[in-house]
Amino acid sequence: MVTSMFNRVFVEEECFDSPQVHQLREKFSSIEFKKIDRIDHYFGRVKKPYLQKRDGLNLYIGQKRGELIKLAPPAYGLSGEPHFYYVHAYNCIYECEYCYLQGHFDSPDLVWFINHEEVIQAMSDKLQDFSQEKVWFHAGEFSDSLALSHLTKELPLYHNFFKHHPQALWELRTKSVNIKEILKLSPLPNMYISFSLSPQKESQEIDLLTPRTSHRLKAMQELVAKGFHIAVHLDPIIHSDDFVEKYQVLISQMKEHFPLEKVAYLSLGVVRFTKDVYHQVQKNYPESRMHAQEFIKGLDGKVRYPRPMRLWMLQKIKQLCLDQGMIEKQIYLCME
Amino acid sequence: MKSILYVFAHRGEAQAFLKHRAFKAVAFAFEGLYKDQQDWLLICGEGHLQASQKLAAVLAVFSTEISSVLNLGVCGSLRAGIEIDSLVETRTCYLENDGAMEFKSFSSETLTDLPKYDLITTHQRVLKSDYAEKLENFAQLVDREAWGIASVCQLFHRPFSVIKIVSDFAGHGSEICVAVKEKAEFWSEQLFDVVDSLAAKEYLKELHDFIIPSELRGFHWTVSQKRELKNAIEALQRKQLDWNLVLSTLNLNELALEKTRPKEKSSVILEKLWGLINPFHTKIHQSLELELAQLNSGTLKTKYDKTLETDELHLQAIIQHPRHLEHLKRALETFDFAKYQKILNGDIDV
Repeated sequence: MVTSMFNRVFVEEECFDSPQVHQLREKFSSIEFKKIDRIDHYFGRVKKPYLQKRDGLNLYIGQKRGELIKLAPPAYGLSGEPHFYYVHAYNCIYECEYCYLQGHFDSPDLVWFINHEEVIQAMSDKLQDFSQEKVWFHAGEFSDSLALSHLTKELPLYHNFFKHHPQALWELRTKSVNIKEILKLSPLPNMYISFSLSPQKESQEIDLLTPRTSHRLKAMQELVAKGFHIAVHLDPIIHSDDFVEKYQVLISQMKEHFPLEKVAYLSLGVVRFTKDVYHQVQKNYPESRMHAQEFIKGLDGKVRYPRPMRLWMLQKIKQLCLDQGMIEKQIYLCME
Repeated sequence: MKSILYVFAHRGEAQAFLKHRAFKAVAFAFEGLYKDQQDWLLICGEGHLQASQKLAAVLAVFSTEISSVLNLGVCGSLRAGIEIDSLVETRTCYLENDGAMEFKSFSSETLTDLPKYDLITTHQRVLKSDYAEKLENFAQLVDREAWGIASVCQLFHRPFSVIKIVSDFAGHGSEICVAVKEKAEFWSEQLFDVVDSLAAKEYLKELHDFIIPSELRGFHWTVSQKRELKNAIEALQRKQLDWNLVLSTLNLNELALEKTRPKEKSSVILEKLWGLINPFHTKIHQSLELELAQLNSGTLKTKYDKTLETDELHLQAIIQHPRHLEHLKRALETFDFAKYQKILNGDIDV
């Protein structure tokens, strides 16, 4: 399975002899590894159709240049603390029909950055700017943070940093159940593994190639049992006539797998798109039931439910969480 | 009947088509355009500029008669494993232009079971191995025209496909010119056989003309209404709404008897259909209209943000008489803005 994942692997010359690449070359011995000067001379230089990820996926390995950590957009996490995200990879092996990566990089090819020490140094520098505050660092903005962590192998490096910097809070966002690498680490009070969840039917129809919701719940259960902090993103919520019932079931299932007070935080968001991403969704998934949704296009070009509907949906699901015993301060709304 | 335009760079590549079918030269601004009873054929010359110029001219004049474009001819292989003489179909076309990569790419419609590869169109022949090596990072095949053809097809909203036969490994010098002369007939015959078998399968992916459902045919539909009806019916299908249930809510018999203009009856049907497609949206607007009813009476008129993103409410009043002022005062006194805001904040029963 692993060997057929990529067509080819392109590696920046200066990374070619690194231990990470050496390890990967051994693992993927049947795939051609080709030296290139710089990733950005190839990746994203031409528009590669998104769905070519199904049978023509390349992997690029190199150095992340430019800004290594970035300020997260508003409402990215719990309010009151600064939030940043760091980029360890571009693109994802999953195929969620609403995913904004469809319109983001102009290529579905995977990119793995291996200069983690520099990213960690940038985090350390950032902490100096906020010496009195907790600072969040999120992984998983442009790629699932765990799905391929058994290959990318960067988690111990970051773990070591967060272990020695309790002021820094670490979130790993995922839809995967690949928690092997996490379980090799010790739980930290400032480490949170957050799972995006949606009702099983939605997940099967729309979050293509992702693990089943029930499997994700089991992974969360295991993490809780081992003492790790978990969090939940019920985002994006997609409307259907029975969406409240479906979420009721999902929240009950969560409760069956772990006590809801163990959920460090839970975010709620409804599906939304930029104009370009929506155009890509129409092109890539013309038959998707997403196109039967009551979206409107705002003056800012965003495609989303009308405001009364968004707020109504969020309130409905929030109330379900409260009814099941969660408390207000566990829940935040991810508005846009 | 809609036709295909076959585009070749060279006459040698098209020879089997000219031999087996009754293509006749068309008097046009330049030589190389042919037509038979069914389809068109263009010999565009080598290079993406020539190809795009000539194709654009042809489609500008004959686009109503040409429904799709099929680029045929030889291409080079950039990757070991794609053998000479193999027939291939492209999926994405890229362009290398004077050393730089053009960002824009075009996806082609695939028609066959042939192996699918990406193709890069180049600004010059690929005779050197380092040039081929660089191109190989982007695609497995190389030609000189496909991207230009694809770009014109996009401009004219015509689907395009590319079927090629591999003539050589690119980057291995100029022997290719000799090979092309020697093998042109064989390659052309191979391409002809593929197209011939496709024709039998009626591969043209034409957009089927939309047929108005029988129950709605008795109403008058303007062109724009017909388009909207098509969109509405597609949306209903995506929502998996039962058609009989939909019909029962339309009250067509009653509507047919109403003494309104035919176009207005069709508008009512469309409005009802969209109401079924977007029930929440309809409910919000109905609630807002109800809340604003007292401000929309007499000479008063309100306007709210149709995107529903802001609470803004615009009020227009025409005062021509003291009673108009009294009416305005009363309406404002009784209007509950907080209730109006609650609807916009999603506090609504659905």
